Amino acid sequence: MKLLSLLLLTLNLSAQDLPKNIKVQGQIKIPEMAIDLDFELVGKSGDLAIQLKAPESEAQASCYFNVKRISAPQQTRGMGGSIFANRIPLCTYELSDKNAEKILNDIKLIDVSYRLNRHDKVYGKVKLHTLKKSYTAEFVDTK
Amino acid sequence: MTTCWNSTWAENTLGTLNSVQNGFGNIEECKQTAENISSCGLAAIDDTLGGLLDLTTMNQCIASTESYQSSGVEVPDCPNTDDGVKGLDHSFPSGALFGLYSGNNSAFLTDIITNYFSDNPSGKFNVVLPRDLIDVLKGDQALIGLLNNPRINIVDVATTPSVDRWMQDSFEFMTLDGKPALYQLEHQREFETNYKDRLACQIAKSCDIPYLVPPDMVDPLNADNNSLNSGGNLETMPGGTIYRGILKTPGYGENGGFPSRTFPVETSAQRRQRTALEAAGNKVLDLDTSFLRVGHVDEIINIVKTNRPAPCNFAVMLASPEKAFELMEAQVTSEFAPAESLRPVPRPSSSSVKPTILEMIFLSKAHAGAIALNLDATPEDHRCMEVSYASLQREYANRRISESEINDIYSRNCIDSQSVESFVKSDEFKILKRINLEEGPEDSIPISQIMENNKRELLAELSQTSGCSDPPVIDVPVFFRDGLSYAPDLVNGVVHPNNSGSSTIIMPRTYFKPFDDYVEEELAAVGVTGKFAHDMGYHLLWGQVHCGTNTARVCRQ
Repeated sequence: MKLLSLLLLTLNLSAQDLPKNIKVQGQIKIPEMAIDLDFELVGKSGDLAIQLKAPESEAQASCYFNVKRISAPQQTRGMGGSIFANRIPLCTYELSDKNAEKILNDIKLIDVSYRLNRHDKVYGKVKLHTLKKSYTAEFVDTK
Repeated sequence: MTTCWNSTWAENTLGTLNSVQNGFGNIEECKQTAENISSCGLAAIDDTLGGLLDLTTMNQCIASTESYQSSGVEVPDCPNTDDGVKGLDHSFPSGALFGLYSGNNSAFLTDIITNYFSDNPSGKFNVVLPRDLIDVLKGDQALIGLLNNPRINIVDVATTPSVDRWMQDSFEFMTLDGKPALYQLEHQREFETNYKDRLACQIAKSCDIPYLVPPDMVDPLNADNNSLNSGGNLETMPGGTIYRGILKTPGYGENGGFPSRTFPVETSAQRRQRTALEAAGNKVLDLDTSFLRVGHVDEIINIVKTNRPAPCNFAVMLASPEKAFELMEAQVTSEFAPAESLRPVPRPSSSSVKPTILEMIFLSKAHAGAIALNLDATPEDHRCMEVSYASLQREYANRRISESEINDIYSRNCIDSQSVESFVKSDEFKILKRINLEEGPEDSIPISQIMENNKRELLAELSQTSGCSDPPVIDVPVFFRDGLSYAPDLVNGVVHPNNSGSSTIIMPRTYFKPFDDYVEEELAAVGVTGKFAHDMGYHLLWGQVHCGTNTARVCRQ
């Protein structure tokens, strides 16, 4: 899985529907979890995924959520974009933080809504949905 | 006559006001002059297109009231506009429809124009045509043939407007002194743009329509930010009340979010807009669009003229997640379930099994696109992947889908890229059902409850102002993910009274037969004709048919 992460992370965002100069990524904090999560839109030529990563280096800390629908701010009304991502089956987190592991393994959908400010800085919200509960976190791309 | 905010008008640098009436300014640069009614523009365009637009007009945008008088389409009396602009509801004939040619929306325009002309005897269709796309249009002989019609009028603009195809977003047609008037609205895409360069101003010039700038536009505090003011968020109901969407329910925050604000939230621009509209003698009803990403009331409510006697000569169309889930679940019967032999062999569910790199890459290449990595896809799902919304957008942007192709897509019974059976059984479905019907975010009420509240308020207002206390209400199957309609939003259609004494609504085709048939039948039951247009190039960019068109209605003085 580590190798897969490296592979995907080295690819450029070149999906036809996504502006090349926009990186949808950031760090999110969910009150129910002690750890911060990194998320990033990764992919290649039409196949896109959201990587949701916990900060543990030795564990199974990343899973990918397949992007089902994406729109970019340059195309939509106003300056907003959105991503619907669904969990890719068979990926399971294994973390030392068992509370975080349970929540992350229950997540089935990710919705990202993002906007551009006038300096093309991306900011927005990430919603993580389990069957019974949804978590919302705000993000600003500071990278 | 009231004149308001003159000090603010004077500081405005975006254009020259030549008059202010009841707070609405008139812009000098947006008046039609002898220069810009020249027919040279059309001649030049026609020349470029090989002389194939010899019947098409320019500067003749709107059918006259008189043209309807012998057509069978009733023309109601104009409201009194001594106090200022008023809105016209959907019982007033459509004198003109406007849509943008974007170079990749021929199928959309073809469907709208064909349906509009089929039972509307007089209305004109205005194609906003960016001159830099004329060469692209040149290659589309089918569309050129359709445009060569005296009922087609060209509004030429230099390039694609900054507001793109969204005809509803930056302006609305109102009525003043018995004629259409253009009402400019804030739009962040037109930030700091001079009025003369805005789409509405160019239409006003080309069509010789008064161009009105409301007070909220010139308030520097508003400055074209995301004000929620929009033509799609400024609709008129029977009885004349103008209705809009504001944020009433906390927790959703879809439209920028106001976590620390006290609800309901009416933006500062909306406050100014309401004050100005009320000063012009209008009533304003604010409904709840908190759960919507775009936030416009035309995403969830529409009103159609029926063939019943006044005052109950209309029906209300409301977005109904309940109806959507009901219709989808009804499809999951043994009749639709695939044979066991066609099902994929289940994969081990052990959490220790991980996809290999090769597996991931292979799958992603095999099914590039919507659900590329769905390891549980059934044969039915694979048939649906071929006609996913994204595929339909790509394949049919410029080619009209034939009836047989539509029937083929219907026969696949798909919701986007999944069979309805797989979709109903999916975790995604369960989560969307919870969010739509059971609980909103952060302990707020669900979408279905918001719609119930909207229905109650809307019907109360209609009862008071139109005299109809019990109009038919059509539950339109629409459900939402992250503030966006998941399937094309059937509420967001464009309505025109037709020559049978009722009206026609042109809606986005969902390509899911149970949804399309249900709405068509419910409309037919009240005498309304439902027609469909291919709008995937709009749906996937957060809008639909109504958002991509604008109607100038006419009345009798």
